[in-house]
Amino acid sequence: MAAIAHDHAHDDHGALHHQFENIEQQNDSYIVGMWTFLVTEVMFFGALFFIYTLYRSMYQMDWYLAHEELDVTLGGINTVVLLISSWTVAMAVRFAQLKNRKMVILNLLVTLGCAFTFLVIKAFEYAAKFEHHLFPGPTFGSVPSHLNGANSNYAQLFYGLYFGMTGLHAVHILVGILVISALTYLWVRKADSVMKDYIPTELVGLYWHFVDLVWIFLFPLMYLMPKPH
Amino acid sequence: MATTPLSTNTHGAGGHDDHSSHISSTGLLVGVLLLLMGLMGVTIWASFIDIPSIGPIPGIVMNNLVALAIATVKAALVIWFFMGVRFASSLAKIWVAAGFLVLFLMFGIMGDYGTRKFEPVQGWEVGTPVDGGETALPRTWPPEGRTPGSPAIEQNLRPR
Repeated sequence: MAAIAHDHAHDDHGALHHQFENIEQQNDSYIVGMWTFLVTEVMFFGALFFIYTLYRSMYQMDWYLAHEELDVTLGGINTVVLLISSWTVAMAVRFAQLKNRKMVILNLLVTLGCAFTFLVIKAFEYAAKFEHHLFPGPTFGSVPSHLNGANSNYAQLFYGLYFGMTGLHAVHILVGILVISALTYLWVRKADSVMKDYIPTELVGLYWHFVDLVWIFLFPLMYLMPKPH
Repeated sequence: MATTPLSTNTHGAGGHDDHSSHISSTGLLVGVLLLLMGLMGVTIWASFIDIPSIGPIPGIVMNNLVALAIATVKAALVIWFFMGVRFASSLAKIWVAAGFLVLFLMFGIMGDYGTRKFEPVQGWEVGTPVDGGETALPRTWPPEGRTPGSPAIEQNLRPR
């Protein structure tokens, strides 16, 4: 039985590996596997979101005052950039399914452009925070006007989580750039691994959507705190 | 028995035609993107509005609930449409849901931190304790009394 399936796979479907009964089972295995990784990522970021929730509930007013230093415009632009990149990845997966190589490459390149744009904007934001002594450390808050009247300790707690969470997110963007570049290279080289099977493109896409997902929560939590009232 | 893999293989070998039903249309993906952008606009707008309290729920909590509700809808749109979970098998769907369920359950730990002040710790009565003694949690208590520019809070800071 296995031998029949095996031969059949090689005759009719280059993408099907011999240990799978059919292409649906194979695709499902890949997708469940990728989601297993993403679920661990959810827990990884989830712990940080929990710490954030705990301390924000304790020091609402100080965190509100400290967060006013963040630039909503830049954060908003970055949100738009990431949403667009998520869309282009979804389009790349669509064109991978349709085996339209040129459109896959085009969409992946736009995604890479968005990823770099995001990092450049983030770098400008970080630079301003360093300049204003808002990076946690011995000189934190030495320019009191940038604390907006918040208690320095609680503001430092906020900025610790701000840099920790957005920094970890930025590391994920960097990894995404590497992985999407490798995928684009395979498409440019017309590699069988991506041309005959859309799943590699789909899995890279899932990772990139996850990075977008994290930012969807980070943006309102970091940049858009409502005024305690 | 032997026909099962063969027949499904023939089905799967249809390749292009067979999978066309699992491909999202451009119009749908554009629609989801526009919806996400719109929701982003709504969440920015809502954050600058002081939503009034409803019943026992304070206004600030209402603001936070609205922001989180919008973020959850956005996340659901990305997961369902962009990540293609709507096409995934039941196994994958349950797996995805379980991941987020466990994340949700983890926030039950807040119950621990929320109730620590119920139990004053002996020997921690330093400075100006409220309610007869300082508790296991904050150096400043109650933090709710904080208003911008009130120096009283600095006096309540316990020496480290």
